[in-house]
Amino acid sequence: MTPLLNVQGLTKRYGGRIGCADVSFQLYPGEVLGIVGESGSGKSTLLNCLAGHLAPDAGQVIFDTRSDGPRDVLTMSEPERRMLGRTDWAFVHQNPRDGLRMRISAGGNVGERLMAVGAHHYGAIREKATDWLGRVEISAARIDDRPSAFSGGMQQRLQIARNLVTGPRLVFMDEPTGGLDVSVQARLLDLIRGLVRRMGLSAIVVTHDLAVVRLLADRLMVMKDGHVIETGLTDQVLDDPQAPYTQLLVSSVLQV
Amino acid sequence: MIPMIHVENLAKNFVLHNQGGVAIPVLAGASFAVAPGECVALIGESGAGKSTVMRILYGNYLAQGGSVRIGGLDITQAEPREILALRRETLGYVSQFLRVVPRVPTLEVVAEPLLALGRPEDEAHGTRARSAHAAAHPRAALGAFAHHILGR
Amino acid sequence: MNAYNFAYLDEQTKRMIRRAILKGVAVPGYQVPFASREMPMPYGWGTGGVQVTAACLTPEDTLKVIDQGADDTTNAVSIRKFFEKTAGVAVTEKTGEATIIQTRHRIPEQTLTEDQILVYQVPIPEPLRFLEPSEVETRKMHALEDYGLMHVKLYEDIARHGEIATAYAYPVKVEGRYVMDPSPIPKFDNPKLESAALQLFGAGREQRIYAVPPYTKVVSLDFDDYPFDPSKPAHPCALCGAEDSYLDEVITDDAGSRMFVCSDTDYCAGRREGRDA
Repeated sequence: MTPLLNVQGLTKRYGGRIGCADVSFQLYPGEVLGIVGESGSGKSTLLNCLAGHLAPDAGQVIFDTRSDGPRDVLTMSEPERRMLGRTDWAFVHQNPRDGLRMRISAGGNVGERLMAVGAHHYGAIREKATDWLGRVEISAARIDDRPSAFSGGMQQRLQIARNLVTGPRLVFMDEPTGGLDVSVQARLLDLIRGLVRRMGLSAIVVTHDLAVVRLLADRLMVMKDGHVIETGLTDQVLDDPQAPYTQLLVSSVLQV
Repeated sequence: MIPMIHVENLAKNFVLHNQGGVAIPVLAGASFAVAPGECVALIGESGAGKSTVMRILYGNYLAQGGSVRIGGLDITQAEPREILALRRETLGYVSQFLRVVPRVPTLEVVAEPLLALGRPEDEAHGTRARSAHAAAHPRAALGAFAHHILGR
Repeated sequence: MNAYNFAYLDEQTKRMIRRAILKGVAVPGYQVPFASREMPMPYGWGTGGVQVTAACLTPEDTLKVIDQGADDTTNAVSIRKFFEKTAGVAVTEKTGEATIIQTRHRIPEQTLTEDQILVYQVPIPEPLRFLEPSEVETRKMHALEDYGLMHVKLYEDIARHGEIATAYAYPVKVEGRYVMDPSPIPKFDNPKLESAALQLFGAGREQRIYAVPPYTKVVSLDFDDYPFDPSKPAHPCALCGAEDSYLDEVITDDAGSRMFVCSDTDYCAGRREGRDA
C-alpha cells in the first residue's frame, strides 16, 4: 500500500535554535497519527511544515495526490499547494478565529471552500452547507448567523464543517480541543472521532493532551526538543512507555 | 498443525527511568503455543506476569526479546498498522477493566469493531445488538452508557 | 498659463503614468502600481483620474468631465476648469464630441466609440479589500486566480437580502482572468463595460492604474440560480421620458414630492433638444 503521506528528514531551524529535526514517518490512508509533547517540543512547527504554512530547511513531504500519485509537496508550485489546501487537505486551528471568517455567516464559511473550487449554484451550496452544519450538530436555523455569535465549542465545530465540506483526505489538527471547557471538549472529541471513522479520514493531531490522542489516534509520536523520541501504537506508548521523557509525561497525567 | 499463537523465548522487563533507572524483570524465556480452536489458561500468582504476557500478545506492551507470532505476524517486529489490522480482523481482547468512553452508549461500543471493518451502520448495530443480547444484557441497556452496566 | 507644463504634470511623470497605462492595457483588469503624485486637490476628489487624464491629453483633445453623470456638479466643474487652465484643451458637455471623458461613478448612456477614452476615478481599486484586509494576501489571490472569496460576498448578499444586493462597484471578471472593481458605478452600467472605447481606471490615493481595452470581455460575477441583473428602474425620466437610462431621484419640495430624472444630464438634454443620442 502507498502511504498517503511520506515524510523524510524534515528539519526546521529558527536561526541556531531547532524547531524540529530530522523527522521521518509514514501515514497510511485511514490512519490517525497523534503528535504529543510539551510546549516548545516542536510539534506545532512540525505540523506547520507539513501543512505548508512554514518552509522547512530540509526534508521531503511526499503526498499521494489523486491525479499524479506521490509528489513532494515542498517542491510544488504555490497554486498547486493552495489547490491541495482547499481540496484534499484540511487544517483545523486551535483558535477557531484563525480558521474562520468571523464577519461572514456560518453558511458562507462552510460554502467558501466549495466556491473556491468552482461551485456557483447558490441553492446547491446552501444545501450542502446546511447538511454539514447538521453533521457537526449546529442547528440549520443558525446558518445565517456569524461565528462571533457562537460559543467556543460551536465555533470549533463550524471550523470542522468548513474544513470537511470538500471531502479532504488528510486533516491536520492543531490542539483541536484546546481552550474549551472539559464538557465541551468531550463532545467535540466524540464528534471528531465519529467523523474521522465514518469518512475514513487520515489525520495528524497535535496536542499536549494525552486523553485526546488516547481517544483519536491510532499511532503516537512523542516529541521533545524538536526530536521524535518515541513512536508506536497509541495504547502501547501510553501503557508501556520506553523513553524516560515519555514515562514522565504519562505519569504526570492526573488520574480522576 | 501451525499454531495460532506461537510464543518463543519471550523476555520483558520494565525500566523505570524516573525512579533511578531501576529495571524490573517480569518475563524471561517464556515459550508456549496455542493451536486453532484451543483454549489455554494462564494461571499464577499476582505479579507472576500473566497480564504482561496477554498485553504483549495484544501489542499493548513491547517485548525486550523473543518472538510472538499470531496468525503469521510477529507482533514484536510488526508495524503499528499491521498490529491494528490484526486487532481489527483476528485478535480480540477482553479485559478485567473495560476501557470505554463514558459518554458512548453500549450499542455504539459493541458496534464500533464492525464499523471499523467498513460494514454499514445499520448492519453493525443489528448484528451487535444480537450478540450483546446473547451476552445477557437486557436490550434496554444498549441505549445506556456502557460504564453504567454492572460488572464491567 | 505658461507657468505650468501642459496638463499640469511634468513630462517625466506623464511618461511614468503612460507606462503604467500601457501595462494595464496589456494585462486587462490587472492593477498596476504607479507613483501617484500630489495633485492640487484632496484625495477622494479624483486625483487618480486626473493624473491618468493628464497623461492621455493632447492639445487636440476635447475633454468632458462628469460626476455621477452630471457635467455641472462641483467636482466635474473644477476638474474641467483645471484642464482648461493647465492644458488649454477644448472642453464640452456633449458625450459625442468628447475624445476623453473623465468620470466619477457613471458610464455615459450614449454608446462610446473607438475614438474615445473613458477615464474613471477610483476610490478603492481592490475588489477583495473588504473581504481580505491584507494587500499581500489579495495580490496573491489575484496572482493565483483564487477568487472563491468574491463569491462568498455575493453568497452573503443573497443569504441576508434574498438577492445579490450589491448595487454599485459590482465585481466583474475581465477577459476570463482578473476580478476587477469597476469603481462605484451602478451595476446598471456594468453591461456598458464591454465597449469600443478604451477604459482607464486611476486610483490616486491607492496608487493603482488598471484598464479595460476596447472590446474586452467583461462578465459580472453571479450564481447560476441568481444571475446578474442590471436592474432597470421602473420609471421613465420625468424630463425626457427615456425608459432606458439610469435615473436619479430628485426631491422637489418640503412635502416630499419627488421625481426621477436621467442621471446623465447630457443624454437627457440631448433627448429634449431632439439631438441624436
